[in-house]
Amino acid sequence: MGLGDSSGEWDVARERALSTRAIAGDARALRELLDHFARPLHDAIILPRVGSRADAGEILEDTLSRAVSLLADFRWDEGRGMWPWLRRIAIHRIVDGARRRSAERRMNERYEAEVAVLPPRIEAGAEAEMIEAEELRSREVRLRAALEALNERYRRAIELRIFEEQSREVCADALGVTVPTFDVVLHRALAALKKSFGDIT
Amino acid sequence: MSHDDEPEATEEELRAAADLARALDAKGDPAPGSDAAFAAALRATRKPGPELLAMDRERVIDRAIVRGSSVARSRVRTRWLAAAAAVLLAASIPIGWALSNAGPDAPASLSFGGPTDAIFSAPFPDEQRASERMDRIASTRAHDYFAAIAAAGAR
Repeated sequence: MGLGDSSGEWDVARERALSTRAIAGDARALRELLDHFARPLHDAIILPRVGSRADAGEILEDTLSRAVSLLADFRWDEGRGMWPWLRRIAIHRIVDGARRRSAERRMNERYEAEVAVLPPRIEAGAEAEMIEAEELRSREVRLRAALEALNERYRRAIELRIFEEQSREVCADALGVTVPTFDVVLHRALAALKKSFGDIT
Repeated sequence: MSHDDEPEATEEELRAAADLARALDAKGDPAPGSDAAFAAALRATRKPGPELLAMDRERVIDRAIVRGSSVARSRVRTRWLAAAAAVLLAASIPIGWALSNAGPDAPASLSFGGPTDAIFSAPFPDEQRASERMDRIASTRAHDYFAAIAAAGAR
């Protein structure tokens, strides 16, 4: 089966059989597993935490490479399959990358906060699109709550500039401030959001 | 800045705000760990795009398999070496124990703690052991010499 090809439904039996064959050294099974999980790992776990596409590509490669090297230690999780194991490896890789960049002593606390967030319940054998949608929906719920906790001006600044991608001039006008003041407001708004939402970029 | 009822910004804040404004306007890939990267991460949460399709997914997977397999092989080698070392260590314990309990046939110690004079009257056991006897005399003489110096110093 080639990459991106989806011959047959993805289900628990198939995921389990592929993981067993991959552990036994079947290269095709291994490739099929990695191909199945690569996109949700990248789009729903890594990119929404690091932002940089180049960084996300490297972390994805690190994650998959680490998974291959540890495959012999993988134990099938009845009911949840391979996703929680891969997800955990990806989060570790993200934090390792951030730790290399940051001299900040609070990095461990930020990591603890990230792993303390209960991941969505995703059943074994879930389709890649389903995993991605569930992970992003769960993160969006947290993001919305964190935005709600901000003051109105900060929330508006982030909505306009980050999500609606409006120009600085339009944003400043909407908030009734000068452009340089808007820049500072946005900077402070993001700093406030990092505290409540968590940040391991 | 106070005229916009926002608290006065520090120099550092002004610099960071300007960097963020520039990075957001540039619309390129943000620097890892920057405020712009955090902003892009927020966008990727709310508005996911077909990001991975744009990447060379096959290349990433190929490289991951090569790197991961190499690490897995070296882990297996390390485990084998550790197991072999443990076996050797376990085997060496009874050997060491047997040597340390060798009994009356074990070679006698060459050290000698008594006065020197008694040695000179001891007969030579045989020619092969002459150098052993000389070593004992030299070692004991040295001991006497340092003891005499120590005694003189104490006086």
